[in-house]
Amino acid sequence: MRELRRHQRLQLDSLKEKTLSRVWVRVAVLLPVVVTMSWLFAPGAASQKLAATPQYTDIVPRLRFDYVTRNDYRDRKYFVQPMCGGVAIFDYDNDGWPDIFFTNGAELPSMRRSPPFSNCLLHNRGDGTFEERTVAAGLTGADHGYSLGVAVGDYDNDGFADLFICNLGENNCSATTATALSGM
Amino acid sequence: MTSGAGLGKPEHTISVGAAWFDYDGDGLPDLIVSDYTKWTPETDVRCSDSQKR
Repeated sequence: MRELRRHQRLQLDSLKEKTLSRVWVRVAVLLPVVVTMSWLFAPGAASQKLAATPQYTDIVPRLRFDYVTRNDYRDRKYFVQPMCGGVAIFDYDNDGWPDIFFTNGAELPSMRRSPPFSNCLLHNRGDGTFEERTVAAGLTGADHGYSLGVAVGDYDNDGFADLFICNLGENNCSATTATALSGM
Repeated sequence: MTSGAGLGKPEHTISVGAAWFDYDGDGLPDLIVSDYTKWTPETDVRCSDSQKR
């Protein structure tokens, strides 16, 4: 009889241990879930989640430059006008900051490029502001006719990005001027 | 430089877009230029209501 009781007690102890270990396993599994859920749904969690995603800030008030895309639309419509305005974002002077280049249109029907129709090269100062360097880089496009697209590539493998500018008229590979300015 | 590089194009065409890429994997960037139609301001045909300009 005593043996039987001892045996029963041992069985009971073993059962208790098993139950206890099951509880611990559940705690171990559920704890991270509970913590995660409480983080997700806690007050202020929305802003924490937002902080982990890319944020955009309107920097327009900090930008100061005069470029306007001009297709010379006045009264008479010309076929080429809707296609004006190519953009290239590239580091033209290899200072580690992306610069911006815009093409521009021309007077129609003469295809003359007076200063308001100049292309625009904006040098990135690295603080969210830009400085226009179109003239210095020789990229005004005064003799290009009506400019449309632009492509960036280092076609001569000199380590400086070059520009290919698409025009109505002769196309231009204008990059040497920008490259020269960069000390090459 | 453009014409010297063999990048001439048919007269009066409109080049609208271009891209540099290494199409044959030789390590040198190649250029593709898309030309639109032939057009000059002088030969422009208006596409509008005949009552309007």
